[in-house]
Amino acid sequence: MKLVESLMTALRALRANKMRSALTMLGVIIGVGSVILLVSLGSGARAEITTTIQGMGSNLIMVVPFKMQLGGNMMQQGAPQFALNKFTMKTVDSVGKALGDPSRVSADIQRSIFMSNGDKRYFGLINGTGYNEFDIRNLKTKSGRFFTKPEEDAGLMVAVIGDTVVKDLFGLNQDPIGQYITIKGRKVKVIGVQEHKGRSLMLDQDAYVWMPLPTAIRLFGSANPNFIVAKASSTKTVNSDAVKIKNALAKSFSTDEFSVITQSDILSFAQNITRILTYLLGGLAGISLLVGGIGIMNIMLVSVTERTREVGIRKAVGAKTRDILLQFLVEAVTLSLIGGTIGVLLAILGSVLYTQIFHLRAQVTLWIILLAFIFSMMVGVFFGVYPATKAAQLDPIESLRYE
Amino acid sequence: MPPIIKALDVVKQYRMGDTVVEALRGVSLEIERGEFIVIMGSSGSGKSTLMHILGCLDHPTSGELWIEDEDVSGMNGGRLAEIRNSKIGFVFQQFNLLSRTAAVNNVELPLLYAGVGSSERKRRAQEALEKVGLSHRMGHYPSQLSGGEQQRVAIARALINNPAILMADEPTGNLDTKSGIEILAILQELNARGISLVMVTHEREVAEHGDRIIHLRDGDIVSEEKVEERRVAADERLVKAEDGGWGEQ
Repeated sequence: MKLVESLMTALRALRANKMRSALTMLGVIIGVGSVILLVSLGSGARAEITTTIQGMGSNLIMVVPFKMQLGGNMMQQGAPQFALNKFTMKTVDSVGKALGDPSRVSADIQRSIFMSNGDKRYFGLINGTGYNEFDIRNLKTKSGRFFTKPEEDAGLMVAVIGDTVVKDLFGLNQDPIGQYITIKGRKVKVIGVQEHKGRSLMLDQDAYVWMPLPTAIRLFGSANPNFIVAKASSTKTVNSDAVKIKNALAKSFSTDEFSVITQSDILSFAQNITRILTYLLGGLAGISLLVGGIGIMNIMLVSVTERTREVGIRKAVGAKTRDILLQFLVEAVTLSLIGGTIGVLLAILGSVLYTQIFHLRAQVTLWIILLAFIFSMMVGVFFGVYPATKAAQLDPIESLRYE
Repeated sequence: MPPIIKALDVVKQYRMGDTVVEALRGVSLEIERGEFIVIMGSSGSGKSTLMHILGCLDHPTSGELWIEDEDVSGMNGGRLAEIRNSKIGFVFQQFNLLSRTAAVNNVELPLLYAGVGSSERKRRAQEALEKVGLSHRMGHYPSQLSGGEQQRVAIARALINNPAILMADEPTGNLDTKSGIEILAILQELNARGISLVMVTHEREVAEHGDRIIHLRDGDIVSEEKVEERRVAADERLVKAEDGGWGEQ
């Protein structure tokens, strides 16, 4: 019997038992659907994290006042110990000296605080930084300007704010440039608006307020930078510059008290984490696909018993063992393939909804669809072989007598 | 011309637990082309087993079986399936049609396994159904057909591959008298057209529609008789419908 005929016979048999076929497929639908969806969410998160980190600029070097191990044994990763922050403005100077160019170094003092404009209030993160912060971080202003070195040195009460801050303190259609916001009872003049960055990694990248470092020190009464950012002169010198900074700081700090991290460190760390996450999610979903396959086997076994007489009749009129085997196998594979197709479609739909609702990226790639598809077909073959063999080996006379 | 079926000392043993049951104890038999043979016997006499072996549904434990000029006793399952498909047609007491499958699809089943193309199958199945007077029931499912109609579908299926011999196992056993006579009339008509027939029954009156009756008891042929005056089903239709059935029923 030809394969096409087997397929027609299988479809007829599946149609004859619509409810049972649908329920059997459900296992595969959920299995394939969740494999694709979860892996897509995982790789979407990976892509998002990658772009976000790459957006920081490949020349970026971060210096933090605690021990941070990226990669290696993650179990050794302690909680960041902000309490032991021993960075001072001198530390910033020594980083500048290490690079031989202080204009490529900027310190950040961060505080979360309420600010207001009249009766409008906003809780957000204030970054006290150097005049060169935007240059180092690859950021731009879309209107107004960033503060200059003289303005920084003078500790002027000026700020550059992000879109979310503008929206909450001034309203959507207001031009905030030249207006004032109140921080800790002091009036601060808005001189620039940060270029729109949108959300990334669930964080609003437009929710910052940037101020000159001395102004922040005066407002908050602290002169310990939370971290220091530096820019290597080129992508090629990132690693050697990082080593220079490390050596310079090692003179005054123990290894527990600081870490120097480059963009590629963060990138490979984040990618490792998300890769593990993706495999984990895919593996979990794979288990449900396996359960779906067992469902197919279960139903096929019932079906073989139920259709014993049918097998007898077919054999009596000339069906060979191979024909019966093929018939039941094709039925199992058809079930799993139709289930797989519906699963793929549902997963695509699910990832579109996910993107729409959570504004997170889901990457449905062709290879994961193909993989899930081939896997579901293999599930059909694997779990179909046993029932099909059972059917094919039925004795024609016995099965004709079967009631 | 060789006989259409030749059985030589056919033995069939079944193993039931520790004991061996001998269903056939050395049966030898020849069926000539065009003959209408009836195998009679009480239940347990081995008549069904004999028919299954003659119809290549089962292997003999020992002995030889020739279909036309082929020795089939040593053939594997696949070759036997081909023989069943091309040379033998089956009609059963239980009709044995595929449920949830239209009459025309039931009839074309043997052609499916013979590798005949779809349109050719449809055409020949329709022809076969016309021959048994069911051209108006092609798309009906078995559950929508009467017992007599179902048996006619089964006959159409048995005939579709132009078999050399037709095996009928109690073909009237599940039918009322009228339908039974109709089926016997069809079988006799087919026989008249040259198809060889082997029919199994336990009813004398049904058996007398054949040419030769073989009596089986405990797995052995105990006697053979030529039917002197064959009953003609076509003539019995009106008579039998009135007096209400075969003697024993």
